Amino acid sequence: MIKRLFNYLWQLPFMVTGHLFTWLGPVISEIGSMSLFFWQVIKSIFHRPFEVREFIIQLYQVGVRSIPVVLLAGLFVGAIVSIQFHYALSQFGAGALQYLGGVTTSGLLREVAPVLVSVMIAARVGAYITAELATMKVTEQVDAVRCLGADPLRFLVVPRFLAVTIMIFILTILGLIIATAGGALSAYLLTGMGISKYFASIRSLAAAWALFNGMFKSLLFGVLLSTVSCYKGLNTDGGSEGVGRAVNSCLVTSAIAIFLADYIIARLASLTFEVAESFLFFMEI
Amino acid sequence: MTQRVKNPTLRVILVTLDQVFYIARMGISVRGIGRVILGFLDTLGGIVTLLVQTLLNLLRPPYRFRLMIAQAEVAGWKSLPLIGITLGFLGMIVILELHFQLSRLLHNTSLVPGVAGLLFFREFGPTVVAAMMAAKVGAGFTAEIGSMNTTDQIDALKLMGVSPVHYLAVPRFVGCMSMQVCMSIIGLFCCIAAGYLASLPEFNLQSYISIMNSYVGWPDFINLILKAVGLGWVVPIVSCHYGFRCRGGARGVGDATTRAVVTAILIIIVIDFTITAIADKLVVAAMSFL
Repeated sequence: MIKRLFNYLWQLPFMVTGHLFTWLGPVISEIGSMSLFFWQVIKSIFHRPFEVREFIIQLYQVGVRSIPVVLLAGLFVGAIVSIQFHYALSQFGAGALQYLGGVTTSGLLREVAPVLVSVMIAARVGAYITAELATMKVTEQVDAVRCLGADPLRFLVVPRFLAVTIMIFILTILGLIIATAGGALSAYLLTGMGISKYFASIRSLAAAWALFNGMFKSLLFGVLLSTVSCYKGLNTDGGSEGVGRAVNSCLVTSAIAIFLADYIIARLASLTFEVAESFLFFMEI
Repeated sequence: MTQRVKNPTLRVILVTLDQVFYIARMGISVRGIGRVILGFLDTLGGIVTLLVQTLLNLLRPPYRFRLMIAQAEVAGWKSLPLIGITLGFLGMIVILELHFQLSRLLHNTSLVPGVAGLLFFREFGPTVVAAMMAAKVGAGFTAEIGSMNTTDQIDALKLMGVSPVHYLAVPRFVGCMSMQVCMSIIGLFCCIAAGYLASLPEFNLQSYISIMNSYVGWPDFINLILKAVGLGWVVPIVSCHYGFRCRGGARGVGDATTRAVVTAILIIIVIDFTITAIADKLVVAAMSFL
């Protein structure tokens, strides 16, 4: 009994390491094939003929039809951030409340708006693209495209890739505007803070560097999101259940990718923000 | 005018713009607005009806404990890696960002764990976990029920005299809602642990915990549990609603999944805003009353 327990304890670290590696292997191979897929997409962007019509239709599908979702989510999330920061700042005494607008807007610019818009677009558009491409793959329409002599990558993936990457950038700007409005409105309606007082501290606390940070993040998230959703869509098999599984796995992978990239950028920014802020202050931007 | 343009690229652009403006005209017309409002009311009514049906069927025997435990495994154990990874990264991001903000604002970074603890308990525990559950569990439920629906398995259930709500929605409701409360607590601990790792050179474990403890307490934990319960019904009910409504083969399944996730996240955000605003108002009213 004791010997078996001892054996078990002795083997435990090795078992854990083995399980970790068996779990890690498929993840690493998935990341590798996604990077290869991304490189192929980048190469086939520049191949003629360009699918202008499909690209414009995808811009409409991705961008214009996501506007209500982004507006609704942005308004309420801006209000939530404002309420929570109001509570947090009221812990430091009444004097700290004058910074509410600046802190809320800076947080929205740097973190909340890019992540929120990317998650909403992942749920709305990324899942839709995965479902569409997976349906085409399952019903063998992708093979039909290839039979007709067209490259499925250039014909199907490139317009979606470009449309998602461009539209996330634009929708982030839109979401940012509406979230700032939502934060100011909730501060005015729920806590009785004046609108001019709210906007007064924004200029001093939300620098151009924060906007650059957020916009760079939104571009990066767009590239990640479109790569993941197109890859998951084109690598599907097994009927209508396979389509559901592909959508699910696309959502999970893009959520993890977005938060991982966000953490890496936040860490880099926290290492370099003093240098960057002093540089921009020096340049008087 | 479009027919007379000879340049092919220009012509493609003009034709597409024409189509876009046509759709926009349709969208702005009275019929389009009416259709949008009817669709909204239809979805809302369907979700509320399914919620009431599920709550009524919850008390009706036979109780399918085996199915409930199977769904709890899907909602809890299978989504544990996603919750752990995303909430862990979020915890680290919050610590880094608050360090930046507070060093600029108050010139004092010793209070970072306190504010981070407030945000973890009040927002990240309940709401972000609910959104992640919508992406992982809700999409899975809709895809499963939707593919059952497109292969006529739900009609087969009705034919055998089994209520689909009782057989499919109730176990998912019980399993997902109970697991979401547990997941909120687990996600909260992931946030706190990862935040400690991110704030490591400046704080040790004792100072981190003691500063956090001076800003949050049991009321915040009870707030977290109540919020998780208030948000927990959204994911199973919305995903089952879209699964039961799903029509039209593999394409319909994908479409229903997308709509379910988006609707669930939007409802979660709106309910969270309502709870937050009302809770703050109630706290202020209670303070002034006392």
